[in-house]
Amino acid sequence: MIGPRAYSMLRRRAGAWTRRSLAGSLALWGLLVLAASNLLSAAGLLGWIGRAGHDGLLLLVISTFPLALFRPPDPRSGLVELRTVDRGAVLESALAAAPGDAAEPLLRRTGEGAAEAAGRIRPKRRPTPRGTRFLLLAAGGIILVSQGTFLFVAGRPVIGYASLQESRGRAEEGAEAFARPESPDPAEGDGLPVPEPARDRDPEARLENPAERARREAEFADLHGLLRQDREGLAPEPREGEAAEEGNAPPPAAPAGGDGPPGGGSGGTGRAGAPGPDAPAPEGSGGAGDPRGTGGQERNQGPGSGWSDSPGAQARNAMKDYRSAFEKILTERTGAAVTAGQDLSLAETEAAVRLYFDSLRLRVEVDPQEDPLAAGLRAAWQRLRGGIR
Amino acid sequence: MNRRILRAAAVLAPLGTAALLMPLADRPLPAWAASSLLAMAVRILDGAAGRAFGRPDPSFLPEAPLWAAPFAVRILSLLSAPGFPDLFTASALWAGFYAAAAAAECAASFRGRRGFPAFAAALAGLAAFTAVAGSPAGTAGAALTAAGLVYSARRRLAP
Repeated sequence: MIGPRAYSMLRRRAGAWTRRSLAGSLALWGLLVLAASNLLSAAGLLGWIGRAGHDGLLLLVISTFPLALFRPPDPRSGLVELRTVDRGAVLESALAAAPGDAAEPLLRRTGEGAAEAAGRIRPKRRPTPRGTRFLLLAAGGIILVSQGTFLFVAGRPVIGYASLQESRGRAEEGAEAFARPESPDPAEGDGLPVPEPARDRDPEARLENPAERARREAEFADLHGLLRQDREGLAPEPREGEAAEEGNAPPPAAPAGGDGPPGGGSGGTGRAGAPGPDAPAPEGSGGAGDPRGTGGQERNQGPGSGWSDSPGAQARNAMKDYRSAFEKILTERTGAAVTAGQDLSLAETEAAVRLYFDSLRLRVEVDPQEDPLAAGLRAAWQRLRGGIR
Repeated sequence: MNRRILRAAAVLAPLGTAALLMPLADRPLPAWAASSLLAMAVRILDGAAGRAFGRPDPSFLPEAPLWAAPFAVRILSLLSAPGFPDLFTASALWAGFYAAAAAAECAASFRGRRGFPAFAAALAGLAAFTAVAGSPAGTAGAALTAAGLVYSARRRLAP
């Protein structure tokens, strides 16, 4: 019906029209999805919907992608596109002409001329329909207003689910746990040191920072060094707040029985495996003159022996050693930036731990079973007592 | 009753029942497998509903995933048991798979061929590509494939 030049021109125009309509519908869909996501984030921030509702609705919105993709373009826009380049309706008449029509050669020849002329004309872009323009403006306005509100309320742009309670809870928790001495208001504290384990979870960071890893391993070895020194009966490294003099007279030892305060550590000679007279007398096995103590010392030569078998271990407090090492590492890493809160006493910690693990505690109600030996002794005692009376 | 409502109910009822009765998966499926299974299930249900209640439009109906979306959250989370970011990836994969496979069916129908084999072939190809290339690449590939197929079909309709 139409010549090759007109066919090529129409094909080019049809391709541009198809691309434009498809890109327009996809862009409109993307903008509407973004606006809906912002609205859902705002609803989550206001506490109107939960996480499940937010994700369900967002998935529903995402599922409209095929709907937007298959949305048919307005057929009138194609006709308008054709009539823009074919003002005399020559090509349209040629396309509508039946095969073998008398006017076909004339329409074909005229159409070729019209196509050559239309190829030199750059068609004007059609304005966006009013409904589409309104949707675009509404979506853009929603996105702008939502992000501005997020910046004002949450202090940052929000993409996805956001809950004000969660972020506030996290902030308060962090403020209570770590209070900066130089800034009395915890809310002003920015840039709290990142905990080491959080950084260590990233394998790339671990690979990229071998110096940090070496330092961490050294600290780990320091902790183990305490144990090793205890097993071998060596004196530990002097720590902060302890007497550092090697071989000096040890501080006053705890009274016999080991019930004294745990701060009374023993000196170098006292931990050498042959306790002197200043070494506290241990309860039970492991004493200086006890053969079982020597046996324990021999057991310590091999791997796998416990901390409690080490010489002098019973006179010391294992928790004190660990705590000293922990405090040393914590002070080295954080300096004065982080201090433990003053309000958290040991009793409160115990109460919190008891409350936390109370739900996990296994309760088994067992009938009291009386030991027959104890019952016989009690009965004999009562008989004897009655006889005396 | 309106045929559209009946068709939607025919898709929603089995999916909702499956979502409610499906047990928790001990060994979760990958996201691409869960998404392609769900896309195929929705297509089968939609085809059966179309045969039973008639199609109001001879062209492919893209609203079937929209009908199935309320239950897709639970089904995808049960099949692949991911966290929320993975769930979004799986849902985007599902929508992309369905769109691309539907576009392939649409393009095949325009060429006078049967639609369902084209749907299944496109879905299998995209699932295999996603299994090799990963979920983000699979999502992008499915979306681009869908857009390309729709574009080529519309170009073919034009003179």
